[in-house]
Amino acid sequence: MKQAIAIAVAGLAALGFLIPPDAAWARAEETSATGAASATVISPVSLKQTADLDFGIIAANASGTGSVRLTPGGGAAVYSGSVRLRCIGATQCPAPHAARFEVSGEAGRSYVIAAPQRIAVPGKTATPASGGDGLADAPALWVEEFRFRSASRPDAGPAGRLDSRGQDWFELGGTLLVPSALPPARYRVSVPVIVSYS
Amino acid sequence: MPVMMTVLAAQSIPAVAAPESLTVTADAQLRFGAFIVVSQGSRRVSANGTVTNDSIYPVGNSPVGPAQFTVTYDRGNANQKPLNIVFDVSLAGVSPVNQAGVRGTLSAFDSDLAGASVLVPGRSYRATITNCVTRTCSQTFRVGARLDVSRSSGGGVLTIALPIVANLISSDKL
Repeated sequence: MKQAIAIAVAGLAALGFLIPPDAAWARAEETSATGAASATVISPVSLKQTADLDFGIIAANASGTGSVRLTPGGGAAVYSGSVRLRCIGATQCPAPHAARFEVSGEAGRSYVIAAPQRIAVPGKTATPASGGDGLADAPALWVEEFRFRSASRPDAGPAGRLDSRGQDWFELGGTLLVPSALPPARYRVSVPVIVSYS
Repeated sequence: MPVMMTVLAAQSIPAVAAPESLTVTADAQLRFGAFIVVSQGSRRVSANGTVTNDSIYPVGNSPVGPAQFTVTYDRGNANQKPLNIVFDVSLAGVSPVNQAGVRGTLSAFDSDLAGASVLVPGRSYRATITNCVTRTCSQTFRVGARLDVSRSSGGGVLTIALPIVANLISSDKL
């Protein structure tokens, strides 16, 4: 009897050890994975004007019309119709030239340039306005056919590509339309030029 | 009586057992895309894919979307019965990164995991896969966040680790 009891206890112990894991178990298994968050931060493109678009000093016949065309890339001004370059004095005869802009931003990035299709240029005569408040207005002129030439892509029109230092530059030319019967006047306007990454 | 006990023990000896296991995998990055920052700004990409920009300017069509993770339970060959799998998920600490003159910091994490719409790093969130009747059952969830960027110069690619930890709590038979 003593032997039977002893075996029975041993059997129960073995049975308890072999109970399959049917019941719920508290566990501490841990697993992990490392994902990632990513972003590409791009340096903004910036533009600095280093030269105006300057059509110089011109004269035209009272009854004639004409134009001045400035081509980016260093070409000479082209005068048409009755318009000619005219210097007031030997010491004041600025050479017409295209505007120049320096572009900086993310190295290697391409960019595009935008400008108005045409823009009116207000003028002021050398004579006082009626009423004596400032100079009299002159009829507006128009500048159109803006053209661009970048150092990096001279044949691409309004586009360029920043070099390994994130630098480039471009020139802006255009055509000034001159109507007839203009009074002597000085004309100036700001032309909005926008550069953005392409 | 002693003989019966011996037979019972022999019948209970299991075959070679494949143990249950829980794994988590990173399926997709949290993608903030490409953008311009003048000095500082932020972009939020939510778990549901909503994108909100503040003082940043997107560039191009670079992909944007939440991170995705999948937690998979493998019951091994222990049983064939339906199970409820309970596990905890946590996002470990996320550190800011510096890339040349650009610093990026992640915050305001969210997810589409039930009960974890707001994810606080270091805190555990309990999730359940109910009525698992196959050998492996999984739950996929997405994680979004807000990226604050401050830039003193240049640009660059920011990569920030998103460590996800999953703990198996229980696998109860139904």
